Amino acid sequence: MRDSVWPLRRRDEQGERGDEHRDERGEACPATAEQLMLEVAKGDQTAFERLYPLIAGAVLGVVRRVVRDPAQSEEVAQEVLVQLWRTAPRYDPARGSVLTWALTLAHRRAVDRVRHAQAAAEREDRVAAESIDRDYDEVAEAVTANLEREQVRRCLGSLTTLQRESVVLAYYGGHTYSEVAELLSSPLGTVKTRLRDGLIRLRDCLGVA
Amino acid sequence: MSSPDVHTLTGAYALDALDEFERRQFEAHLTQCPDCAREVDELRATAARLAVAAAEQPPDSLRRRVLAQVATTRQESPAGKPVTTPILARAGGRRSDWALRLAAAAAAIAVAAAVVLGVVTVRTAAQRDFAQAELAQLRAEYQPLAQLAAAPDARGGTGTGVRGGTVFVLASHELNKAVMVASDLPTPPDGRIYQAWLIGQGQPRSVGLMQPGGSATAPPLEFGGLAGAAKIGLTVEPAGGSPQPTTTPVVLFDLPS
Repeated sequence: MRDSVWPLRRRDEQGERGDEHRDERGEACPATAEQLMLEVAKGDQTAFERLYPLIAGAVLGVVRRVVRDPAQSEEVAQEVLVQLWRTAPRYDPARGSVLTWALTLAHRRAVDRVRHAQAAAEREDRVAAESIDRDYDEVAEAVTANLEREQVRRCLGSLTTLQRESVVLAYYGGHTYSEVAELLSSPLGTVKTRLRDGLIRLRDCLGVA
Repeated sequence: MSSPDVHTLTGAYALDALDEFERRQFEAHLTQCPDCAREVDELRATAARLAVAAAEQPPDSLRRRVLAQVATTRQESPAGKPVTTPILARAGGRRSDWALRLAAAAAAIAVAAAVVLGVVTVRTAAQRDFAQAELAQLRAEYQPLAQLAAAPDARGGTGTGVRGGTVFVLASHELNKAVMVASDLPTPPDGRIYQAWLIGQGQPRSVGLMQPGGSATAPPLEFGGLAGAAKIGLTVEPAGGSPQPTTTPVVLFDLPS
């Protein structure tokens, strides 16, 4: 399973930055995160330095979405990136790309942080009113940045309203599905199902295989 | 959690939208359901695209801090547990067998309690009854373990069976109590059973019988009378036990102190 978003940076930019690999004929080609990870898993710090720019932006971005507070977000992102180094020898390519793995760790940790740090009630009150529209708007605003954002925005737009709101509140908002159900005044079972079929539709739209 | 509708939790799981109880319940289900695991992998890759869409330029200071910390951080070994064991990882320190076992017991109790208390949605009265019974049983079985673990002088020790399996003993000399948990011991031949012994200066003293069913973990065995005992062992004995060991111990190790 490879992310078609990969590489985040255009290949020629990577080349200029010296992020390249030699193939079997000794020709230069850009190193993928998966190739770098093989070296990182052997304790190669230089490889980690080259991996860093390929993942740090998305890691910080998703943590920021969930945690919101900038200083805390950086703290969590730092933990995730160091965790990635620490656990690199356990990375299993069969379970997904390095980027997916890193972002799974990042989202999980961000969610853990907000769920433990704040009383749920306090959070709900504050976040409930603002979340949905703002989250979606923020995605919409960010589109111009790159094609990836454009594609994600377009695919989010192809979901039903309830699917989209459920997915966005759960992922960017870091809410549990029962919180989402409450926020959207929808039955638990419905939200549970919408999260799944929404993601599946998103998967198909984005061409994740 | 074995109702068919558990499969629909793949989406919520991939989005980290389950609470801790359900998350662990579902993770247990995942190990039994390859289709669910595959779907989770795909949905996680999809969720990752949402993260990429939120990417922002990280400040240089973050890069410096990360690289500095990496330079002084030891990597884990490739073998062992999967990387996502949040509770255990959070506990920090060595993930010894007994810590793992305690955490597993605590998790099982928490899950059952959540179902009973209605934190987790229960579909039918039958499910609720089942959870209630499971909770009562788990509590009874693991209560001594939990109590002991809280004792300030509690120490754990692990022995490996000569034919596989492990035996873990948690002991507090202050409370004069110990609990033994065996896992993956081979099933004894028909009409035979494991018997546990405390061994000190004099004759070995029987502390109870253990009946591991296949590869499952037998209920914990609780016992006292630790004074003077130096070692703990298990032998295979005729059903009903023997006054004194009649076979060579299959597990023998120092009583933790």
